[in-house]
Amino acid sequence: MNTELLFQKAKAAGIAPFEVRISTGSKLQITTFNDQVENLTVADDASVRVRGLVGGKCGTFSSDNTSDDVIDVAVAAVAEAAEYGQPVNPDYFIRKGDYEYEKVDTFNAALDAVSATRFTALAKEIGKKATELDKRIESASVQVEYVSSSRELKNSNGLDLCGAENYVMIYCGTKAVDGEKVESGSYYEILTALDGFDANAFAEKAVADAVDRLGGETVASGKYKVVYSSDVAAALLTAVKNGFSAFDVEQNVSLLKDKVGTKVFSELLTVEETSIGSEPFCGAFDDEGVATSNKLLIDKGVVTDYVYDLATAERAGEGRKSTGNGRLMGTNIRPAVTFMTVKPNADCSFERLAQTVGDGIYITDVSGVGTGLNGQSGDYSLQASGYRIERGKITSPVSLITVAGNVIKDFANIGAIGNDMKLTYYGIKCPSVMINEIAVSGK
Amino acid sequence: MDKKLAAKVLDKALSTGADFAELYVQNKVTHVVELNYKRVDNVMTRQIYGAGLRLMRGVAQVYGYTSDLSDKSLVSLAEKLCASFDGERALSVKSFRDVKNPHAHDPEKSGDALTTRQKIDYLKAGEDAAYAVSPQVVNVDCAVTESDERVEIFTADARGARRIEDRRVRTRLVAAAVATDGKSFESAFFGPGLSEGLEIMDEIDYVAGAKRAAETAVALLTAPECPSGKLPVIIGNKFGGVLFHEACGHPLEGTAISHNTSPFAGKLGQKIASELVTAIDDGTVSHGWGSANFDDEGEPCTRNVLIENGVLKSYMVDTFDGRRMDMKPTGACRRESYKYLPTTRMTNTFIAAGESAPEDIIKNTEFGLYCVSFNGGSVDPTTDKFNFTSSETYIVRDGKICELVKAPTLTGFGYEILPKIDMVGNDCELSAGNCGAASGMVAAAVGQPTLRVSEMTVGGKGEII
Repeated sequence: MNTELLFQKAKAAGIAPFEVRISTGSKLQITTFNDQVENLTVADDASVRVRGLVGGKCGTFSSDNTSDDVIDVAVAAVAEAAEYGQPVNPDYFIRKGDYEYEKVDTFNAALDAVSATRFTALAKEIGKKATELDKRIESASVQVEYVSSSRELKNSNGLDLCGAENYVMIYCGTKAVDGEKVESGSYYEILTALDGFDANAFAEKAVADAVDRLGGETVASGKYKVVYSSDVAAALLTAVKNGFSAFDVEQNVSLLKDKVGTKVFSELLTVEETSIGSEPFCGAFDDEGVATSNKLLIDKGVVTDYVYDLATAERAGEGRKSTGNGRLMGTNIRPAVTFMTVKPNADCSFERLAQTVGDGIYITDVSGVGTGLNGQSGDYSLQASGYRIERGKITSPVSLITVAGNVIKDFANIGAIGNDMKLTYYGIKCPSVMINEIAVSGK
Repeated sequence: MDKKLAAKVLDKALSTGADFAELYVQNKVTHVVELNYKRVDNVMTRQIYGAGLRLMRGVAQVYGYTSDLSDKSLVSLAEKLCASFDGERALSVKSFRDVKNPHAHDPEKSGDALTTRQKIDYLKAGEDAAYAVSPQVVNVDCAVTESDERVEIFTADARGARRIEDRRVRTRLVAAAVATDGKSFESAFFGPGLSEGLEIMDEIDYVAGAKRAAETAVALLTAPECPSGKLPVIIGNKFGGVLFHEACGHPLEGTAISHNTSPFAGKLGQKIASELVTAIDDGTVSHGWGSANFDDEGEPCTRNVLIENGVLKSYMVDTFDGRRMDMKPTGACRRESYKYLPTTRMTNTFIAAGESAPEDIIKNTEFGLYCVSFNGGSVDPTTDKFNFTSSETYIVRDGKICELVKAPTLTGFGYEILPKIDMVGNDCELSAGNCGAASGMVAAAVGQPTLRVSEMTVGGKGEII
């Protein structure tokens, strides 16, 4: 898109200040069924989002059509939407030079150089290994998805920022059958490099997730010591992640309202926002162009602060500044945590976590998070499965149970934190977490 | 799209032996007017615009998409994809036969039939009614979402080269209320949607719906916890149909059946449900939320009886899955947008009306739950293990609806639930929802009459029964 022309037309329409963000992406996705390639998807796409003020009120428009044909439509749509939009301080369209940015390197050239042939061979190799590792594996479906994207933010105040990232997500789903018993398993990793990637070890985890859970039985309903796997802990912590929004706090819908400076969680829990780094969720600037930074969100159980964009920081007063957490959601900029990391306990392996439990349950999988986890209250009731822990060791599989609780109460009752960190697709990196008591419904 | 360009692209794509080629061109405009946080929070227009190119050869498939619809970009995409095959050309494309569109779901009112101000005023009436219920109502999210999608599908296979055009206009109204007593939060939702234009706003009593959502959220604050254990469960009509959608619908999609990863694979002709159960996936329901004239590979949508009097009669099938299953497509191929490889999905999926009066189902239950509706749920199609969360649940005692309780989670295996449906009401209705799976989020309606499952596993935080 000819952004110079876009800016000229916006100015002529009385939209000032004005900004455009252009995202481009390419994707390669290979899906295999057992060791045969079933689907191959390649893509290049782009999108444009424009935003600006007319008479101090904000309008936006977005389109996948980034040709010059859409310029007039975009400008007209912004002007029309602004009639009903919210007033926005024009100073929130920041100026070039207002901030200095950390160097964030989220684009790995070596990963970008990996050929489609290699990715395809990797997918086939994992699928083949998965079906060979155990005769009870009836089928294995593998998906290797390589994504490369860039984003550009420009505004009429001279701001011109860009960033790029790439990663590969590898997923394997397995079906295990043993007589009448059927179980599905899966395993995934999000990687920024293929160096050292062990396809065999990866396939083993996907296979184990199915075969080890064959014949899972329910348990007696009651209260148990529970270890939540990284993925399960991360799923629950999404409610906490969302609670840091200063906007949600203003609106009385944050579960962390009135809790800054308070020891809400276990002192074993320390959580940091980790925007500066090399992982796919990192970035040097937010959607307002404000520089991001790493910051403590929970320090030994104490909620340190909320996250702010320019507007919520100004409304909070007391000289508060944006924390670089502005995200464009629909028409509005709202503060949000993008990527958070739970500090592991380096000395606590998973085996030691299980020993700490003694007798309990290891929950490896929950479903129904979208409807069974209340983001405002933190209450949850979720279908779950996993394994018994007996005398400190993982034993028989458990299935068809529900776990119910409250995220704040449960993460205030942490027995131990592990060191088996995993980067999950929730934008949370965390280890397994042991909770001293969870209500489990079974028989 | 220029037909000559489409022909050139498909002809190029078929040069290395593919036996199926499809160019899917999509132009979808969505318009949202939303009141939230006691203000006009979003007035936004978004355009989704691009094309997907798909080739098949036997049971292998390649796909590509782009938002650049120029000659150069599309031909380059065709070249990239056909490089995946190394055979001799089997098909050529020079021109297309236009397939006639029955226009079964055309809207009456277009998006500009009302001004943005009129839409805001309409929503404001619902918002005011919801807040008026109680000071404990702390937020009400009210929105009207309109989408106007035009697709053009150019397809070539052994049947020849065809061009299908379809327009899908969908409008949905939403009122989501959140209430708090200072200690906990509860929410409730009202969200009717149809394949209609703005005429839906005249048909729906939005004020009553928003008010009811607020009343339910407030009532849930003081509701006791739901008991847990194995109980008879009466499930309400309309969105209660998410039971079937999760427990049975997904495992009957060709995606799972074709890979033998569904427990219903290989069971056509077998009794898999109570004889009271007849279940249908029907993409032809007039103005149904999940309806269309054609699916996303250009096959006509159909009324597909999946289960008849308890016997499994049919699956949902698309062209690709049909190749593994040796079955013809049933008009069930869908995708969220051109960015997704399409696959078999549901449209409007429901259990058909039975004979019982809903009030008799209640009277006939000594102790159990009455789940009026659900928030949603999910299923593992391989094991058929499902879960869903009830949004409004009452205890039924001695044949009467008694106290409201907090939301429980219901879990189980779909194949165990279906035979346990022992009463089916005569009040079948459909309800709008959004379904997420491999080909993205699609508009899918669920539905059923009030029915009873003789026993389900209920996960509540209350007393264990």
